[in-house]
Amino acid sequence: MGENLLGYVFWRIVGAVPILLGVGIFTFILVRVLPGDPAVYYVSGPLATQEEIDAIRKALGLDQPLYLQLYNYLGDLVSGDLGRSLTTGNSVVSDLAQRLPASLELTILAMLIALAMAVPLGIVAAIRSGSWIDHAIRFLGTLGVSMPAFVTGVLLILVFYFNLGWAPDPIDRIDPFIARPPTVTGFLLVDSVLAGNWEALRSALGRLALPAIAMALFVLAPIMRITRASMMSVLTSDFIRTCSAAGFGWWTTYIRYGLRNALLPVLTTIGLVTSFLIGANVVVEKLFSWPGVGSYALGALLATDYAPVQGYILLMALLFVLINTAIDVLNALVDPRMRGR
Amino acid sequence: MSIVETNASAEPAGFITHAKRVLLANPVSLAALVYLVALLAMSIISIFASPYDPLATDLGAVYQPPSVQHWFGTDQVGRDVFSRVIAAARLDLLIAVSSVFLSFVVGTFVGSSAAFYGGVYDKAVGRVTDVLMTFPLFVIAMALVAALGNSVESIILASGVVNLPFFIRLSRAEVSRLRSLSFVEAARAGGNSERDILIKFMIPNAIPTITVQVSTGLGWAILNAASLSFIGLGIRPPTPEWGIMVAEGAAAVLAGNWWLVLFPGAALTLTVLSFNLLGDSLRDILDVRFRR
Amino acid sequence: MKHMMRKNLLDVADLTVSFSVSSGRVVGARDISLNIRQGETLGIVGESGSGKSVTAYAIMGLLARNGRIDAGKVQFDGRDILNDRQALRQIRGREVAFIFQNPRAALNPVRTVGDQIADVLAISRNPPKSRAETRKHVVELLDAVRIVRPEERSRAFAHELSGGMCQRVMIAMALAAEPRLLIADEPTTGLDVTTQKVIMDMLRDLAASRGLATILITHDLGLAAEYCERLTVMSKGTIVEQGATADVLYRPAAPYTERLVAATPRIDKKLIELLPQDDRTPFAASGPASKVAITQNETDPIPCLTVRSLEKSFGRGVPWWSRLFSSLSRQSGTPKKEDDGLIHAVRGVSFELQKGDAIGIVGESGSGKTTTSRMIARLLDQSAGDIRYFGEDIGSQSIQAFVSSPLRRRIQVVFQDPLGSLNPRFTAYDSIKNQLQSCARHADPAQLSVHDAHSQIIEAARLAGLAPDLLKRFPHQLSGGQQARVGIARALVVRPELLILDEPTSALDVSVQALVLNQLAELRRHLNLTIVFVSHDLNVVRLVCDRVIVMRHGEGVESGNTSDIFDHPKHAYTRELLEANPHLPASVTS
Repeated sequence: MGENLLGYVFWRIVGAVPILLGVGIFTFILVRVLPGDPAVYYVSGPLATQEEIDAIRKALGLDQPLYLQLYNYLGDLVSGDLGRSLTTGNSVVSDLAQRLPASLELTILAMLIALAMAVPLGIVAAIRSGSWIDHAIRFLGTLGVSMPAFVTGVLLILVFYFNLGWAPDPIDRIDPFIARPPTVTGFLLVDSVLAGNWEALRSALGRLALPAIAMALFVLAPIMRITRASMMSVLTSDFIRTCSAAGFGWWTTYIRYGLRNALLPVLTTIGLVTSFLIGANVVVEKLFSWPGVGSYALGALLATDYAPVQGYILLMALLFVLINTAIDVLNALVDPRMRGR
Repeated sequence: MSIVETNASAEPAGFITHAKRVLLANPVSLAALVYLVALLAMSIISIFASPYDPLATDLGAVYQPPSVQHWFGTDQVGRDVFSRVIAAARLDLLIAVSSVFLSFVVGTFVGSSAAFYGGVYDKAVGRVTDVLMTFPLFVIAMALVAALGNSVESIILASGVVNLPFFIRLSRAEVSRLRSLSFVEAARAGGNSERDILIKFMIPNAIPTITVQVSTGLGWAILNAASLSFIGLGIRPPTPEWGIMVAEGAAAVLAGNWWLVLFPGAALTLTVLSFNLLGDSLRDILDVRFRR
Repeated sequence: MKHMMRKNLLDVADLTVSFSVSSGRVVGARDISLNIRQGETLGIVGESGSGKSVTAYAIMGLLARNGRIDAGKVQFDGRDILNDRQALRQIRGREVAFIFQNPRAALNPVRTVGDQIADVLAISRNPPKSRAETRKHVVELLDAVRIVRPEERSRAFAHELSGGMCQRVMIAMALAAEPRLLIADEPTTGLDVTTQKVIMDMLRDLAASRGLATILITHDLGLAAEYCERLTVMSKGTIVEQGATADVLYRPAAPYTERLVAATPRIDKKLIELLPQDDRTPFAASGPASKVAITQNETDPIPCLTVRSLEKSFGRGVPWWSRLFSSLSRQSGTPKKEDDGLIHAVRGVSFELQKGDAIGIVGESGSGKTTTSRMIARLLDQSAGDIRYFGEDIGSQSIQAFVSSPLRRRIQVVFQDPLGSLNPRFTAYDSIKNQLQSCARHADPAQLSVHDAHSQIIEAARLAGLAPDLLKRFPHQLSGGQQARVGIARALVVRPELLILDEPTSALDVSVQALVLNQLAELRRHLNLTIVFVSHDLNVVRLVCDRVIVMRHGEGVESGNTSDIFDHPKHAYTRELLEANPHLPASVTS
């Protein structure tokens, strides 16, 4: 079984290569389709002469045939060179690296909140299926997925910041008047704990709360729906009937036999939900002026600065591949049926 | 296991009776349908008769809370929010319908042909849609709108792309499920050509399932279009559009002018919600197997 | 070991169960009273919807959530287990064990079978004290149900085992807590007859050696007769008769039992005898349609169907890398892959069929019988071999090309799954009409045309025994028997000569099967049909066919006249099949 699993992981990783290659080609084409000539951006002023532009074109390799440009571009990607941002003047890799923890912190927290709410609600809805509780939970779930994260976010700001005054200013990750903990991981929560800076931890948590909830509510419904459906099919399954017939107790029947089987489809949904979260992330980061990769890419896009946009899309693709591979491997670990392929 | 002998002698119901029965049994779906029809009617009427011009500014009446004159209040330049919300419905519904039409046609064609003819083509389609399904599609939509320029057309296309993998996957799954059923083989034994089988046997059976996706897809498309406008891509102010209105109102919320966000946000949410709720009932209406 | 003074283990009195459905409440079982003594075997027999499973589930409090016990008393060993939840919990598994239909689904898919047996051991009256002891117990139990290499198999998951193997595991689980009563709900439905025999024999032996009482719930009267001392016959939720097996079989008191016994095929009965005495009137088939029948030419030199060295293999060759990573788990029951990576579903089947004859193709799952019939019906391209229809080479025509051949209407098929083979969006009328229109497009206009389509459809329905007012219904609005008749009418409307019947009655109750089989036999006579009959059920084949071909692993192991094969089987496998096939003992001559 062990070798089988290793083989499985190996093939999953091999299978991800074409995806990354495809995204690489997509971004390559994208930059060529985006309005404007890349060479023009590199020229300092609007008064640049044709010779200057041509020189830059040559320096950038834009005079070469397309396939060669693609080859060079993919070569750069493999060596980790994503170019420079015109707006910040830094290399895109360092910009992204600096901002990624902020986005990850927000997204992971949102995912945890969503799971912590959706899974129990889904289970309750399944156990009480057909009752008013079930209907209410399902309606709230549908409402959640029908509400874009920015509307939820604005309403949360309205209620918790303006009306109740519980939430801090919806700007940035931490109160500007509080000393930031030294950067170790980039995750403010973790860094604050490491530094023992409880004031910073409180402030960071306070600012994380609203955007994280706004994102979590958006992905609540898909997780809940899957949990409910899979729990219901497990509860009516033949093997749960076997448990009852065999006289197993509540714990063995519902938790050891039921829940593990019910959570398998939930695990698979997390991949889908992550992609929702990444989309919602851009919107929420804009709304809450969150210094993450989403708002960085959006700012660059609106400023027609394309290297960061390219870098962002590639980064998302890489994250996407990592998460989905991890989910598949986890799935194979939990579910013996997945291993045989 | 149990002997559920349902009234087998009763006359099978016709389509209209059946549709009525399904909707009356699901008051929530009925409410959703009523809301959507009302919204559509209002947005059409508003072309000819609107309380205010949605673009007309009135600097003497900025930030007015909801009142008898301005049902939903006025915004930072004194435009009537109600008129703008209704005008925006027109645009958002137009975007939703056109983009879903696009992804429905392309998706159903690609998906069902892949499943029906099978082979390498089918495998490739399956693999690509699996990847696209979980890929952050919103990011692709952003890139597309940026590439194609800020226009209604590019928003339609981007929203269509967001929905496309779902339509492909669904129609592919449905047709390959149907293909394995023995009535297809029976049809072949009965002298039906492959084309007949696809047209008379596959597609009519796949439609009810795909319809659910049309309804949900309409919701998704609106959500997507509004989100793109919210971050400043696609439709530009001062065009009335729900996403833009929320974006503009977001700053005003910090000063307590809640109506600028609440009404467009609620219109947006209710519309998407209605499309989502309607989906399941539509399937029940269209599928003859639910007729008793 | 017979107990001299056997006391009642289980007492059920006046049990009534109902279910809430959208249209109100439906009674699932009414006024059920039965009892079982220690070490006794009781069979509860009935057709689908008779309430036999409902009764068993109600006794053990395993009803689906919409089910409710309205009245009655259930006592186990003198303890009330209907109202005393505590008592019921103590009895489940420890005193009364259950074995279910579809064993693979009844096992937890993500837990090894050994661990699942261990879970039962843990709640038994004397749980094992250490892990080592648990392991020892598990292996002993798997060994007791005759699983080879029990140690290794205890670490397997349900999906890695065959259906028969899963049922053995279920039995091991059931025995683990040393219960006194075993309830087996259709334990061998879906398994092959040879597997069925092994499992049932083992169950009987284990029960006898451990002094277990057994309740066997089954739709198969033959099976119940063979393994049970007493029978309870149920119909429409009530008990119609109970008593000693021989009494029920030979001196049935209730008319329903009489009909059920009559409808069950047995070795010494003719087809017409499956029907109740007063129902043996000739069918309406002798109407105007008989004029299309062509008189049989006794000296016809060309056989209707000639099949020579027919072969079919699936899959592509194995590439080297997947041989490298090929998994070891392999399910038996499905044909296994050979070294060349191909699955040989059919290998070298040959036979001839004269016009008007009926041949039966018999075999267990994976024997290639259905694959063979699909190739003959031109629904599947063969890998090699020759198929000729009245001398014309139809085997060389691809399945796509054959659709527009004028021969298409002459070779027709009735499919196994009556509901699944009908387009859910076509009414019965539309299904028949579609067939007529599609076939008429390519047929000789003199023999088939859409002229007067309506009366042709009505006539075909009449021949198949389908009332005209049912024709406007959708498939899901018809009963199983009616669905099967739509399938037959659909094949008949194009006036076929060769009819391929693929398990046409396997989804039907025996009483409905009796009607349909008689109808088919009648049609065959009147329309002079040539028939290829595919079935796993030897009893049915014997009734319908003149000749039989027995298939196993894709090969025809034996063929010949029906009476020769059944009376003097030559091949060991044919004998094994015949012995495994449960049948009612020959009736006492009255």
